[in-house]
Amino acid sequence: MSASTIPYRLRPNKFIDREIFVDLINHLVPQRGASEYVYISMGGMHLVDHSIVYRRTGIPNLYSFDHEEKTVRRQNFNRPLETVFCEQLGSDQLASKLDQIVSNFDNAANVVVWLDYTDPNQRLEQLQETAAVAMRLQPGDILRVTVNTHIPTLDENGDSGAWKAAGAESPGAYRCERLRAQIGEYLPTDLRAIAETGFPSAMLGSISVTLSKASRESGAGLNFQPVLLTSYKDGQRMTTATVIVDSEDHPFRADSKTWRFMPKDWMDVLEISAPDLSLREKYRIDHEISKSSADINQSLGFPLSETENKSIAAIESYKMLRRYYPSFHHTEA
Amino acid sequence: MTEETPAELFGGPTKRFFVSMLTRDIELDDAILDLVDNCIDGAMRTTSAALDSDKPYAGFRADLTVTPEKFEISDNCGGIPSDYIEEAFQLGRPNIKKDGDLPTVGMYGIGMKRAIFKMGKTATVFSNADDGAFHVDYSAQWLNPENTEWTLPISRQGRKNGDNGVRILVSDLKDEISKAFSNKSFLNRLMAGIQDHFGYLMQKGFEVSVNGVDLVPKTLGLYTSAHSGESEIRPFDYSGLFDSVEIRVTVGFFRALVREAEIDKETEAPVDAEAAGISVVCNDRVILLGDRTIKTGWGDAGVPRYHPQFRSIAGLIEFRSNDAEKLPISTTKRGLDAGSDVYFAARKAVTEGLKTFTSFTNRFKGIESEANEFFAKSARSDVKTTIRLAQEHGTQVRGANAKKYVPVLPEPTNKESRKRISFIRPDDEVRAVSEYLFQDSGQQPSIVGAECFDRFLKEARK
Ligand SMILES: Nc1ncnc2c1ncn2[C@@H]1O[C@H](COP(=O)(O)OP(=O)(O)O)[C@@H](O)[C@H]1O
Ligand SMILES: [Mg+2]
Repeated sequence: MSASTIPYRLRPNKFIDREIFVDLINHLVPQRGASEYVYISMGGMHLVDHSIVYRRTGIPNLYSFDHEEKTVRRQNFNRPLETVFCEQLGSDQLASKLDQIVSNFDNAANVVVWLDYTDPNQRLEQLQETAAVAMRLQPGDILRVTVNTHIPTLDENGDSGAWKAAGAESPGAYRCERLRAQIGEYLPTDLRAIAETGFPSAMLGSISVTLSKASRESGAGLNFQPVLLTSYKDGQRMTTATVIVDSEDHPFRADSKTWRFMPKDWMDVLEISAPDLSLREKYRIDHEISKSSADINQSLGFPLSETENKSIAAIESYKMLRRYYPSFHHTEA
Repeated sequence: MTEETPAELFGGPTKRFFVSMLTRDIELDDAILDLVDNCIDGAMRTTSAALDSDKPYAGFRADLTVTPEKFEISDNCGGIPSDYIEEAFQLGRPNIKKDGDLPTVGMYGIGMKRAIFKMGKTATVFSNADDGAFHVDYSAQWLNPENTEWTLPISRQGRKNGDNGVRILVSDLKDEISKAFSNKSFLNRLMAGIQDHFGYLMQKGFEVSVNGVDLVPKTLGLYTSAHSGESEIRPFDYSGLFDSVEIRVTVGFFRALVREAEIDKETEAPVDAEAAGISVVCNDRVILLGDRTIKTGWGDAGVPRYHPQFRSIAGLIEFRSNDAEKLPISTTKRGLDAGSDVYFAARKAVTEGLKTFTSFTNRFKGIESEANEFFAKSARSDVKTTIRLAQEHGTQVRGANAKKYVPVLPEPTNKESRKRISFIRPDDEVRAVSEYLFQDSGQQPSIVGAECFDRFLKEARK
């Protein structure tokens, strides 16, 4: 596992995805109090996520890990505040270190863990690590897992006929077989084919199987409820599940009335596809925001995407995610 | 001397032994597989088609409902005829041979009862057969380990309209069972287990559904091409008869060779998700799945031990006999009796097959992708239904009633002999060299090592 080094400003959809996540944390942590939580993820060189989580949610306990010693040194330089712990640790060791990490911080009892995986060649290990971490979580914890769902990683050559030689019924069945060969029991058995657009829901299905395995093996009656399921494509398509943990005796809920991105089930994925807007376009749409997307499209007088329908969908997506929209400016520090 | 008083001890079983001890020896999913086994035994007794025909089980099915509230399995496989009822509900079969010439696997007379005891607080078995219908209730009282009552109430009536079949309803589940049944990963594994274990029976027409999902058979396919004088990728194939048991052994590649870089990663992964290894099938039932141990010849008789580099190799050993007792099935059901002579006969063939493909793999070590062109010329086809290389093109095996087909596999074009170099260095040193060579500290260690070698080779040859 390695954190991608491309900065957020080149990945507007990842930016929006994280903004929604920060919003979600704010929605959830007041039940127990922000100071009860430790935020744990791979911070990358600049600890961008940690700074934002700290500033925006008030979670004071921050932990970053990376398997590279020199990255950890750089993180220590960039620490936004004294109470950030940066440690050299592989994601495969995280599960067994979890309790120790929490005990580093006074008063902390719960965790927000983000396993931000990018490597398409290690899906089995990633799901195994996810299960190992999940079964050590406690009611009130929040787990977020990002996985690579770039379709060419299952089917490098497109329709070259590899699926025929492999004796598969269709390209979709071939992809499904490839993924099953990679992750075996973690893939839903009743999944028979992965359509061009079906990879995100296939992996979300697998994450849900992974978590129910963790639930069973935790021996603690843990429930994992999905509260945010997103997919976006800046370069490679990535898919993220965020779940909350509770048990019968220790409920921990997200309120679907006030949390508007609450998925109906594991298949209900929010597609984040922000149209690339200039500042001027953005202001114009903001000005007309109460109109229907079709009307805004008409009033713009030019398409934002290849087809009219896609343009309207882009405006629709913008309207829903406007609050999270990045506006990057150049600043001198 | 005191007078000896003749007395008696009770030497029989206790209820507790059956309802709460015996059930611990079996996993929940295996207990359920036992019930599916019974449906298939039923279909064998009922079908009029020859069992070695294409689809003798077409039309026969078992439908399972597995929810936190109830468990139910219902089939249309003939039901339990009057003559069989008495024995069916006894714990242990008084008469092992009751199915005569039929290749059923039921033998010990325990599967159905054990599954019920494992899952239920109460349960009912319904049957509708040609000569009448009945149902038998297991009450909470009867199932209480303290209770010493062994008789069961049965209500009989005339044959009902509709299919002949058995329905087992466990309407009140034990708490831990109900919890398991609410778990997605348990259900997922159960479904996969049914597809794996009954794949060859489903291939012959038997259908199974779980919670409304129709399952699909999982069977082994290997790369092959039509027999010819060309060296191409084809499986090793053996077909013979031993003590009235038909044996077929097929070993080959089910996928292209694994590249070295992939292997590095996978040696670290604790679970191997793929179908590599040898499976054993008796009368179409899988009794051993993807084995990679000495049981199936790995690490024995010149075959190297299993290693992730061999994860493209798979094989199938098939036994067929109408006399279930001749099959190498151990008493712990669903298990292989690896010590029987008929199994040794098959194992000899397997080791030969494995050797063929492990040495091919070794010859292409480090140049795995060179083999891709050969794989591209072949295609995967189903072992059990389509590969007939031994029967059609095999040579006689001396001293046995058997034929075998040893494929002539392609050779690397670059025939220079090759050596493997491997060594271990600290992580940060590997990363440092990787950074130096590739401006990327995260390259695969094997690639870093190879690059070092290649650069110095250039130097050395200057
Ligand atoms: N689904 C079924 N269809 C027909 N007969 C069945 C079915 N289930 C059970 N039986 C009858 O009940 C008997 C006992 O089953 P079981 O306890 O599994 O022991 P075994 O299969 O070893 O005989 C079977 O031999 C068979 O006669
Ligand atoms: Mg049985």
